[in-house]
Amino acid sequence: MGSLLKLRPLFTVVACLLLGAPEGAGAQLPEGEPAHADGIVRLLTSRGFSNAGAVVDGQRLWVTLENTRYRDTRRALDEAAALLLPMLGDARELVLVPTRDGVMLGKSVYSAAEGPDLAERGGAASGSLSLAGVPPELISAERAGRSFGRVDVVVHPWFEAAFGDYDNPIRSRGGVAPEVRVPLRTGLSLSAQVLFTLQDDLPTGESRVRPGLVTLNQAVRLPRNVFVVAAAGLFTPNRYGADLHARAYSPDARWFAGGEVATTGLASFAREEWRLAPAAERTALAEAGWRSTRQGLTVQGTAGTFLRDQKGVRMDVVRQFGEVDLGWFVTHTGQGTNAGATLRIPLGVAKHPRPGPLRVRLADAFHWEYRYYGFVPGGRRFRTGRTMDDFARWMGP
Amino acid sequence: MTKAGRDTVDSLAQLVRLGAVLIAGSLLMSSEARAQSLTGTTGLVSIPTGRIMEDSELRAGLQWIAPGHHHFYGHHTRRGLVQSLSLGFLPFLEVDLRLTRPLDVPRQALGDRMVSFRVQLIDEGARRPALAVGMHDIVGTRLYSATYVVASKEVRITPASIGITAGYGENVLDLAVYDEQFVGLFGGVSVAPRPWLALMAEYDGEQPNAGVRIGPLRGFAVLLAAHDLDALSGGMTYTLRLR
Repeated sequence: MGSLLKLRPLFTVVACLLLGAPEGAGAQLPEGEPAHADGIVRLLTSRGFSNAGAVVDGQRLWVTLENTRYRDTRRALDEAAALLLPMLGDARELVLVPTRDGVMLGKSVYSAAEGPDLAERGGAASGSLSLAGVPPELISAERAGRSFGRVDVVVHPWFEAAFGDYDNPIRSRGGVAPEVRVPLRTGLSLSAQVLFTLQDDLPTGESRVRPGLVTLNQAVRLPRNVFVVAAAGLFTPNRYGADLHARAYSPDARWFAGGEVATTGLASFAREEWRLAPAAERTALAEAGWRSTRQGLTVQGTAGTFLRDQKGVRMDVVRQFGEVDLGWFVTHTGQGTNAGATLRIPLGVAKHPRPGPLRVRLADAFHWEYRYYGFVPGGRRFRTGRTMDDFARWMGP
Repeated sequence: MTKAGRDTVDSLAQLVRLGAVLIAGSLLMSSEARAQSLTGTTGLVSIPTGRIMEDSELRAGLQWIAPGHHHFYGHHTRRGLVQSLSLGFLPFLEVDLRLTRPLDVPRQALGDRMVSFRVQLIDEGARRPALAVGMHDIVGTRLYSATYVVASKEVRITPASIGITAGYGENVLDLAVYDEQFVGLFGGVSVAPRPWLALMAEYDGEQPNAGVRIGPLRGFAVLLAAHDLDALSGGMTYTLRLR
């Protein structure tokens, strides 16, 4: 027992590393107290938000923050608003400016009249991707609770299935894929993932333990609501190379258009051996879409050169049902016409452990794509670890 | 009259009363407005209705179909298993996914996949019926293809509700490979004396069917049906709201 007591400080350190400090540790601003930037920032970081900054500008309280606590950014904003609205003091409006790896996404405006039960009512903010009117003092304000350098170990479940023969009509494999994710500086993040196979009856020959995503990923926001993401490294499934994706949004995120170019090659780790093809496969895609924020519906068309030099088109229709996304797609390329469904379901609990130097948590969601004809591969895309949709998803219903 | 005689008369009287209730219910018709049929879409026993699923509703179903009534090519003498998912994808659009395979035979493949779309053209109002068009099994083997227009109207006489459905199907898109369902006139009636109970009778374009749907628990429903009034089929569904 005595030796266990001696180890108590060690347990405490490990627990703090994994779970962070206890909830609410740090300053608490009394309800009804006028807004003070320092107090608000301390309150937010004590609740697990990161990269927080605040500025009082006339009748508005401007707060920038990064959701590192909740599975759903929309809910995170409503929780933050419910926390801050009682503290507006003389201010009439609260404007939240969410960020992702430090990149500002837009603004969400809450009126003082919304009241503290806002989060329970499902939020009532009006959102915009535009940063017009954001005070320069907020952009340059010192951030508290920096996320850079913190290590998140994000555990992803993964699953693949394909039609087999008549005796075994569905062949599948699945497992877990822990990913070490480290934001390094504004917009720049490093990801390294290992795929562990727990069940496998697909005849791929791939090793049961093999690398997944290993990428360096830089996101930049340009004027006129243009987001650019550049990624290089090992992509999934079985691909390496470099990718550049740019997309411009209308301020209300109803319309978007963009393009993606990449040069990649096949990369697989099978029978304990790397197999690499030259990274000479070029993909070039143009995209345009429309989005209904009220319905959570996105209609997107993509055209150009897909993988395997297949020129063609792809149409996606996706509806966001809260945190669940269900969608349909049709592709037509030189390899034929195919159709299928896409699925995104939330995982685990809605609230992650508080961020700290090292945190282990479950992935936010599980993605799956079902293709009607498994043997018509046209219209496929690879994953680089960051999707352009993340920049506007928080504006959904 | 002896005691045994009185018991027999009482039993017969009970049976007559039960039969009268069922017949009256069937004649009065009913409706549990947006329940799933044995074919996987919103409907009565087999036929689709003019109503579609509520927006953002997801329904999963498992149905056992009597031999000769599941249209699975080459397996007419075996029972069929239908696994289905229906989604209110938009306020005016229902999407149905379905897998059908024969039972009592070694499983040789996934089964027959069916994708269907149903569009609500007119919402049901106080006086106007709900009107929908449907396209079933539009890709692949198209064993269960159908294209139709159908209208439904429900009347509430608290606590009961009465519904009537009439539709017309035609092979306008030339989808049929082996067969086409709901060709020509089809229709049916339903009576829901309580929200959790519905009695149904219908003509699906080929044969009459009858059934009873019970929903004792929130979200759950069980359907028992007699195809052609003599072959027993059944199923169960669970419905949830995605937001």
